[in-house]
Formats: sequence, C-alpha cells, structure tokens
Amino acid sequence: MDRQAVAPLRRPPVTADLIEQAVFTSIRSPMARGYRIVAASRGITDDEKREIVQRAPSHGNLEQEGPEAEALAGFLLRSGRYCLLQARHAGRESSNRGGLRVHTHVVMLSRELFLREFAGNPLRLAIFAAPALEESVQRVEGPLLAALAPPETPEWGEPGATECSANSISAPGAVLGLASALLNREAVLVINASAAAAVLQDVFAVTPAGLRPEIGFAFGLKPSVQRSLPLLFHDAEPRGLEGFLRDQGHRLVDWSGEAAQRIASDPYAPWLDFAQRRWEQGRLGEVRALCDRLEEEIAPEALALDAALAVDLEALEEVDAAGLEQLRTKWSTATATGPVSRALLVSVRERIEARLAAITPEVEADAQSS
Amino acid sequence: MAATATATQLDCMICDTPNAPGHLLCQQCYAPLELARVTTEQGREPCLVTVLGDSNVGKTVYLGFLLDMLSQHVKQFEATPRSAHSVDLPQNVISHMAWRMFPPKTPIEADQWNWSYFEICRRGRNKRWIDLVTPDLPGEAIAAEVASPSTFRIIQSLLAKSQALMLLVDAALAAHGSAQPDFFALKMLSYIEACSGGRRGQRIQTPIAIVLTKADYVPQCFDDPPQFAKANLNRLWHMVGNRCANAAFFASSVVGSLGFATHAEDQSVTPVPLHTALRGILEPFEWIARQLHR
Repeated sequence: MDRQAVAPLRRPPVTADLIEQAVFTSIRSPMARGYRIVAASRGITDDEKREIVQRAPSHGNLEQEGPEAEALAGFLLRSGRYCLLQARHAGRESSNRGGLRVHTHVVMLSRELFLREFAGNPLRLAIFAAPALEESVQRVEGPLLAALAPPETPEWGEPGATECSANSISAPGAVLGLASALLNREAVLVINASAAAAVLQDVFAVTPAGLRPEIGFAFGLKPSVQRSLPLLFHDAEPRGLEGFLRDQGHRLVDWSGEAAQRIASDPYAPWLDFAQRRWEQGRLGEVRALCDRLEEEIAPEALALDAALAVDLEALEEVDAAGLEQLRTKWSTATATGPVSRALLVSVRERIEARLAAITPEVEADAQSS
Repeated sequence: MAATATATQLDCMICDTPNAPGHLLCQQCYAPLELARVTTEQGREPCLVTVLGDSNVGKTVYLGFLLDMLSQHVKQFEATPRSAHSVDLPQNVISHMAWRMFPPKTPIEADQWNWSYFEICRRGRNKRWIDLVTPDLPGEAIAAEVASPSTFRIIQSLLAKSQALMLLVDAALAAHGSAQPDFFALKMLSYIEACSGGRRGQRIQTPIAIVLTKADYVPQCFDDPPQFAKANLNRLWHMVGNRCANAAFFASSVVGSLGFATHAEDQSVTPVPLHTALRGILEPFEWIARQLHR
C-alpha cells in the first residue's frame, strides 16, 4: 500500500457546534411500533434520549384535538444542553384506534451555542428548526438523522429597534408580573392566554439572555407531571387543574383576569421598573436588544446597574453642567464586572466628558459676554 | 408492601417514597397516593399484579374485561372496587366495545394511566381474599424501560413489588410469521430476570401467566397454548423453560368477529369489533389466584 496516497483523516465536527435533532412519534417499522424515538442524530446520548421519551407528548396529549394543533416546549436537560420540542398532529395513528398521531420534532444544542446563535430565545430556535420539522413530518427515512449546522447569519430583527414587538399584545404590568415570578424561581401556570407564543416572546424580551434557558416552558400540551416546567400555558378550566396545582406548586395566573402581582421585595425590581418604563414609551425592542447581550450579567445587582447606566446614558444628553458634574461624581468610582455594564460605563463616562467639554466653552463665553 | 402513613407523610405503595399527605400523585413515580391511603385503611397486604406486553397487544381490553367479569361475580370470584377511579378502566373498555370501537391508546404520561384496586373474594370452603392492584401500562413505556432501564422507574418498582405477572403476547402476529412478539417477550423476561436480582442459575420465582391474545385469529391456539407457543414463539418457550420456575401459557380472545372500515380521505383501515365473545379471560387470573394461595 502506498502510504503517501492515503488521505489524512478529517477531523470530525465538534459536537458543541452542531444542533442535534430527533423525531418522537408512533410509526410501524420492522423493529417496533408505538411512540418512541424513531430517528435521531448521532450526538444525542442515551440519557438525553431517555429524557426526551419522558417529556415528549404521546397519544392524545396535544391540548387541541384537531389536525391543526401545535405545541412547543423548551427546557434544559440534565446534561446541560437545551432541548426544544415542536409537536403537531400528523395524520392517523398507526394502530388505528382513533385519534391523531402526535409527531414531535426535537432539536438540542449546547447552552453556549444557544446563547451565541439565538440569544437563548427558544422562539428563534423554533423558527430556525421549522424547515427540519416540516421535512420530518413529510417523511422519516431511516433511524439516523444529520445534525443541523447553526444559522450562518442569524437575523432576528434590527438590534436596538425602538418599536415594540409587533407581537406584543400583552399589558406590560401583566408580563412583568410573570417575569418577576419566573426570575425569582417561582413556577407559574397561565390560563386563558389566547396567544401563548406572544406572551412568551414578551417575557423573554425583558429576561436577560443568560437566564432564558433556565425558564422551561410548554404550551399547546395537556398538563402532565412529566412536563412540570416553570412556565406552563393551558386552556383547561381551573377546576380541572386543582390536583396538578396542589402537587406541583405552580401559581395560577388567569391572563384574562387581574394581572399577576410582582413578588414582594423583588430583588429584580429596579430592572423590571426600567423595562416597564421603556415599554410604556414604546421602546420594548431596546429592552429586548439589551437583554440579548446580557449573557453573564444575570444577578439582580448587575441588572440594576445596567438599568441605571442605560437610564443615565440617555438622561445626560438633557442635563446642564451641574447635572453632568453630579453624574460624573456618581459614576467616577463605580465598577462593572460584566462586558455589557463595562461598555455602558465607558460610554457614560465618555459621553459626560464630551458634553462637559462642549458645554464649558459656551458657559465661559456667556460669562464673558455678561 | 403495606403503605405507611403518618400525619406528615404518606409513603407511596409502589416506590416507598415519602410524600406530603395532601398530594394526589407520588412525586417520584406518579402512582396515585390514593392506593396507599386505601391500603393503610384496609390494614391488609395488597396483591399487586402487573400486566405487561408490547404496544397494541390488547392489555387495556384484556384488563378491562377481566375486572368487569370479576365485579360481576363470575365463578367463585366476587370483586368490589375500592375507589371510584378503579372503575374507569372497565367502564372505558366496555363502553367503547359497545360502540364497536377499540378503546384509545394508553398514553405514555404516567399520570394518565388507569390504576385499578379491587377487593376480590374467592368463595369456597375457605374464603380467600385478594386485594388486587393493577395498573394499565402503555406498551411504549414498557418497551422504553426494557430498551433503556430507568426511563420509567415505576416499572422497576412495580416488578419488584408484584406478587404475580401477566405477560400478554400477540398470538395473531406470531401465527402470521412475525418475530416481533417473540423478541419482545424474550426481552421482557430477560428484563424481569435482571430486576429479580437472582443469582446465576436461579429461576424467576414470581408466578407468570403468559396470555396469548387475539387467539380468535388462530383458534388452534386454544387447543394447546403451550404447543402453540413452542411452535410460534420458540424463543419465549425456551426462555420460560430455562428461567421461570412458575409459568403457564393461556390463550384468550375478546372479539367474536372483526370488520374492517376504510376511511374515505386517506384509505387507512380501521378494525371494527363487531361483537365480543370472551374466551380465556378468567383462566389466567384463576391460575394466579391458585399460585398465590398455595
């Protein structure tokens, strides 16, 4: 054998850079029948498959019964990777005992990739995975799927957009009450939310990217203790959920009723107050863009600092020299550890000096002329 | 296996996990805690019989008709439900079959399984009591657990606590040449053996009734169920002979005649049970009762 003719081995792709996928549904095959993982990419471990089987919806578990029913759920696996389930009805179930087949497409990626490419927003991941879902519904060829490459140039809207999200139909107070509960690790079950995806979009708009993967959620699925995630949306009557609420400890929030109150003595209050003011000014997009950058700064103190810096960065454009001096004193000794707050602090300081430099000659000229 | 209850906690009857008294389901295995409460009140050891089988083998239908027969005082048995929920399964099965439909698939979600708790009295010279607890397990959950243990830990707990087992095998599929029922049954018995934790060479002591379902497709199965198993489920046959100390084969059937309906939209075919003709439903349970009272 000519050794020089042997091509060098290609380095296998790094699993952390790929998005794994799987399909959980009920189809007949030579080996088995019934609901199971019928196809998966190589990078999904046995433990992760086990967890998918435990959580994915099986027969009759989409909340709507019609063929157009859809559901979405996202959560962190025990392995640390983020998992998104998109489920829908796809024709008759193979055993023909009534009911429609539930087809669940699963995508899974490392937390780092999820934050880097999608800013931790599962709704963006769902948009990215939609073509793969459609393809898997049409056909599942063989048990092995290819992993997906992340998007090359993710475009999720203009950074720093000043307009509210077009999907924002919720009142700020209601969303911020929900966010307050979730940021403080309280589980919530929301009923009577006509557009769960829009509510979720708004919740993530005011949640730092670094915290978004922690907020497991599900909508469009029937309540089950195997999917007892922190944020659940259901159409069920409260009476039918009593046992679930008692056992799982979720707070019940009726979206059509009074807005959920924020947690008393909420450490995230400064941040949420900032988000509410911006929202009421029609600037929710700015808050979302800021949250997209907050991967590391997720502690209440860090968020309060970022909120204060963002407010003062804007306010310093309007104040006089005395006000600028006060701001200079306020921020001269401040320290920031996160990349976003460091950048904001530098901007504030530079802007203060620039404005002072511009104002001072005018003040001197006015003094001379008078 | 009797559950214990104190003012501050209630131990699950299946996995022994302590739970708050007000909870409905065990926080660990999702079994209904009502079972533990009733057992505590009864003050008598319940008898757990687990029905196992692949997806679509007929577990729900078999179990529903069995419980219904027992509650109608067939032969020497008198069964009384210990809770309203215990009647859900037989009601579901009988109602669907009366409408010429098979009941829907049992979902994998553990909190949606039907659990039945019946107090059964066997009349005779000496009255014998069996407090029968049996869950209607989905075949997919069983298959997932066998393929990857600890996917549904409750199944391990059930096997550990069961005084007897029923393993349902699709006789019709086997007779028509499919090896799937044989392989599934082989895997199931291997899993049961692994869970029993016996030493090398030690046989499974738990009584196992192997019920060959849908035998109306292959009537010869009723003539000699062990011979049928030997001919069509050879792997299972040998496994039983080698590893089971106390097992027996039975044939059963529920459907008297079957029609097939085609859907206009997608041409899919749905089997329609035109009428029921129960055969061989009680015999496996009778055998188990005799084994338990030996």
